[in-house]
Amino acid sequence: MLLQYIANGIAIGMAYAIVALGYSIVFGILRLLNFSHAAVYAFSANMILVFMGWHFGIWGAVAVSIVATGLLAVCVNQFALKPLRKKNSDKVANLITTVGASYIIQNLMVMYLGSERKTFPFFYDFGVSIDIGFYTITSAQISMFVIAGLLLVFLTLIIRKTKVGLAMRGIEQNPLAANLMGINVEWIIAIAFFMGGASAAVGGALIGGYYQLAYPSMGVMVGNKAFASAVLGGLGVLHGAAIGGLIVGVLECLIIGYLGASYRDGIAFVLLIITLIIKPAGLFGKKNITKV
Amino acid sequence: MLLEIKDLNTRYGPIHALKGVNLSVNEGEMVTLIGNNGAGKTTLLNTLTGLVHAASGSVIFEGRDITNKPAHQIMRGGINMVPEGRQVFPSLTVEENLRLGAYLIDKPREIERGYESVYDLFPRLRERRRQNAGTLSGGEQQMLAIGRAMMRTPKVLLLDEPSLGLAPNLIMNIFEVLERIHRDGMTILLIEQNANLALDAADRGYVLETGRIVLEGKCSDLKRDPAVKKAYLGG
Repeated sequence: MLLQYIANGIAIGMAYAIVALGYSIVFGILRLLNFSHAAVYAFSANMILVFMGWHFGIWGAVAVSIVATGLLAVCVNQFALKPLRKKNSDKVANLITTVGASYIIQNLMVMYLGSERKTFPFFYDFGVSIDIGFYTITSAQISMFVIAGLLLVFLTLIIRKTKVGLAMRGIEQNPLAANLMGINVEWIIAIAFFMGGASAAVGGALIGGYYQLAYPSMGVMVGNKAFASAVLGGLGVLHGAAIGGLIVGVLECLIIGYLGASYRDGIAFVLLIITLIIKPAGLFGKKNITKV
Repeated sequence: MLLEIKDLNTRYGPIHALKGVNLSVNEGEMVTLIGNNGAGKTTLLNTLTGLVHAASGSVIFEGRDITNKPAHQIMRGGINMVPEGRQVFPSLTVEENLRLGAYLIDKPREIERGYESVYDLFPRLRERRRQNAGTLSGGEQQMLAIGRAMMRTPKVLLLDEPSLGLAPNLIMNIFEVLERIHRDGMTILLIEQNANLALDAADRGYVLETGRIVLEGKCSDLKRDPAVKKAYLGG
């Protein structure tokens, strides 16, 4: 059964990985843990159901929700975080504000959409599965892996190869100097938030579909697991977030298999604590070499 | 007149850092602003580039009022600054630093030409172009900061204390390059604590004391001025 658990874990781990990307991208540019990300992720899955109610069709609803969720993340930045940056507020104030923003988003969803669990369509299951001996890999697991993998490659290319990506890396290291290069720093930060929100939306669609459930507080547990993945891989490093997500996903499925499902949610936190004690920078975390 | 600062006032809370500063830079000129630590030199540059808010007065560049415009817009207009303390991007390579200097340029040809002219000015940077900027020596970082500002040939180059913290031979090297850039037609506003060097290199100078311009004139005249001699040139 070991290989079966690992296969299950890789599929769900890839979904954690792309939610983790959102933490990593924003941390990469602002050195800020954006705790509103979990609620933004929940928003995406819930909005897919709303858009489906408006007869967008599932794929249309996913597409619109990706844009809407990206814009929500931009709004969190523009209305909650940007005013704080303007006043040169303490980092901790920014951090607490993101926690506040997550409660506002989550509670607005409860107010307008209700707190109950709603069925989410398993839209990327094509009903095919590949049997290898005793193991079964479903087409849904493969799609999950492929979609998340493509997104990861796409975002990495943006950051490594494009001008916007170079601007992001410049701002990460020295916002003042980036500004002096003629970079509109606030605009680039907004793009980073959009990328984080939009990838959370892809994660929301995949995970919502996988468990066939969506509800306003669904972000709490997945958000924490994704956060643990991002820290494990090294915040600010995209491939680190991906590998962190895979490790969390695989260990979780192994625990479900060998210890029972009641322990599944604990492993992410155990990993988080171990990482923070042994290697706080994460597996692939960069140490900044600064020579003055 | 390319750049004109009129009656500029800047305050940090209760501190009145710039008190009605007037300064102008003509096209092709190298102007220096000297003054002691805390006189307000960096504040002047930061105010004129939009990093610090001006309380009153105006900054006119090419006939347009750019007072309190966002820094990135002012840079777009053709002003470039080499900030105090070099401010390179430590974990990016030398070449990536230069690429960011050309952020506002889209044509690959022009960017290539930029690299070539910078490597021509500072051959050492060519040798180290794949190296992270954080691993360079202080002098090399200063070369990189100047090179980065030259990538997109600016209309005026502002420099904030390029000699700060460098060994004398490196300072000479940097100043030789600045004079060469100036001979090639670049307009420069140089802020320096090292008055000897600055007054030798520049055409015209201003002396800033506690937020006020107290003297201005040709550098050759300033060097002979007894007050300047006493306060800035070591007797």
